[in-house]
Amino acid sequence: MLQVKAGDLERMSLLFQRHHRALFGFLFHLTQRREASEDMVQTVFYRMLKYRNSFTEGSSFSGWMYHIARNVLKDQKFGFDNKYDPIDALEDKIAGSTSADDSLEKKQSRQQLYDALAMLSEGDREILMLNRMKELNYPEISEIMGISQGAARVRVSRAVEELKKIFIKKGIKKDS
Amino acid sequence: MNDCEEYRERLADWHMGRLDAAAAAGLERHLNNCADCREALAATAFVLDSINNLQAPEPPANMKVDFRAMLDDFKAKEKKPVFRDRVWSWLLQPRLPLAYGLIILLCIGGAYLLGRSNKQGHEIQELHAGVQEQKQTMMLAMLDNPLASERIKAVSYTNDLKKVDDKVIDALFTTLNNDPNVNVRLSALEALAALGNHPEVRTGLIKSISTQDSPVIQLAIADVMLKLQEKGSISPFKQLLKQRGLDENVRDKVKQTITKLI
Amino acid sequence: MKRYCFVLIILLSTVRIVAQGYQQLVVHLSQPGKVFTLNVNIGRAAINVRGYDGKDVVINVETDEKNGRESMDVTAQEKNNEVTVAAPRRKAVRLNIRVPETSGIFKLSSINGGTIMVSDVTGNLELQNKSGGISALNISGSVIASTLSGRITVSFKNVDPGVPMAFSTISGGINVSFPADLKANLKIRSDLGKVYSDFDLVGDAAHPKAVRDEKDGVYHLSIDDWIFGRVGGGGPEMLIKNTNGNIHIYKTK
Repeated sequence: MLQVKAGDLERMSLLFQRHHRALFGFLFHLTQRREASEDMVQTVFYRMLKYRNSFTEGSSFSGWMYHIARNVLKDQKFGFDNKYDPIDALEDKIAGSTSADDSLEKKQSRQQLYDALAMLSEGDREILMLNRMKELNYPEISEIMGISQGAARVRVSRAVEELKKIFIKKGIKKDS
Repeated sequence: MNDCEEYRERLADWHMGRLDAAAAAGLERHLNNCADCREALAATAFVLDSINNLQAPEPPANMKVDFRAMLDDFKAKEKKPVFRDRVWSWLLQPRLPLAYGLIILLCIGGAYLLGRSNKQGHEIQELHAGVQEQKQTMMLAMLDNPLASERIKAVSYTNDLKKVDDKVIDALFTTLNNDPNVNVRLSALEALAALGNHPEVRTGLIKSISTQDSPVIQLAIADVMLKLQEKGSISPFKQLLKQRGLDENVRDKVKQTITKLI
Repeated sequence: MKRYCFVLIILLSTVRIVAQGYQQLVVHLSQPGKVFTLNVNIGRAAINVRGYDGKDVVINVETDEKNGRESMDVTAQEKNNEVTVAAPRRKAVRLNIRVPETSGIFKLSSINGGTIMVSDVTGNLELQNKSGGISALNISGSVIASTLSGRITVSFKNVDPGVPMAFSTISGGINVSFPADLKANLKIRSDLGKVYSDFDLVGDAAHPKAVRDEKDGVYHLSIDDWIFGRVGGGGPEMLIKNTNGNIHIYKTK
């Protein structure tokens, strides 16, 4: 990223290759909208190019990227309404993606998980999705969320407790 | 029992491997003695694993195309006309042979003015070096030309260079790995194949096996590896075969290539 | 009178025919008669470009409106003679574009919308497709074309001297016809298909000999490699490659 900042814009495509999948996943899990997530990935990369001068030496690229991603998410103002865009459902069949191949049962349990996530507060959902990424450590997560490290840890554990309650309510259990 | 509350706050972090050694050890000791907390851990693990294992759909291929378009557009908007660019576009016009002629004349004239020495051969060598450098610099600039045909032309100039140095090899690899046009990348690959006697070319080509995603290029790399009899490619090719969604034609060819190389 | 950045977007009224959407965009060039550029980079597009005796770039758009979506969002922007046509991602469109017969630069690419077809134009063509064929007929200039599955058919009225070209596909035949006075270095390869040509390919010292079967003009090569040949004494390199399918390189009659 420092090279991009120095003017070697072409390096951005390497960063794109490395990171766009994970970024797409992050955005998708928070919105369940495929087309919108694709658009947001492009927006994030565009903003990183535009504001490349604000990337400071020594900071983590992932941290910066997800920080921008959160801002882009905020700008979108979605409701987390749990419905697949009808176009997206069609696209899944065309693309032959995993969701089209899965059995009905798997699809339903996936949907249940997304439903459960929808019942969390936005902040809880976001922090769990950040926590999910092993490449982000707590200093980075706390910076992305704009809270202290201690608060971030507590937030994660509280979000998990909330989700536990939701799982019980929805009857999501482990198959033994 | 009050400690449990504190320990339970750490269960999620422990499960994700985000606790430092001391805190982890403390928690583990507690867990050994506390069935309730063990139960809580099981629940935490289940919840975290469920959401962490959620798979997002594969981002579609057109995302790369769109990104490319955005990047090219962005670069174009950022570029300001530079004097250097104007000089090169002047050079690239049909007057080029004339420019070369002029340069050669100047070199010869310069050599004459400096006084004839016994080292006639040496001067001619310098002359060649001057022209060579000119061509190389021109080639490097042309690799950024907006027209794919000009970029292919630039790649073809490597055949004319008597000595190929690191800058040129780097430029060819950058083109192979980043050019938006498949055919330009293909021509860069072919140019690199002709430079197979440079060890860094071989290493670079082996690396590109895992980074190239265009089936046309993947097929061509397989052909080149076979031609160069480069056994170092066997391992990355085997890795490539594990890739889901690999083009069937590429799969067949890579399998064939591995068999022929072993 | 100098014209600077001139952005023009015209969306005329949409005409619905049954469940189809149709619109026409007429784009005026800032400098008519001078070299223009046409950029189309749309994921699901069947693109058809034809030269005509006129000064504007006329874009006829057809979309399948079965989804019941209202928006027509295909836009065309012009800036200093560069025309860019865009459509929302994954919208399937059929574009019929008329361009002036004067010299142009064409950068057309699509992924899985159908064939890219260009005819009767002059200039420098860069055509990229993924699952779909490419056809460029009666071209004066140069063509660089690539696709993954689809055939490539190109015919030249005139060729720009000194300009290299390339035609590559994986599954699909390649059919190129060049003017008989072509001067070029051909570099041809088909893994599983045959190479036919009525040009005389003259070998040189550096390259393995290509043997032609006189009966049906087929070139064979004994080793797993490229067929090289100079035509008309030699010139820029024409790279022609596929995996499945035959390659035909003929003189334009």
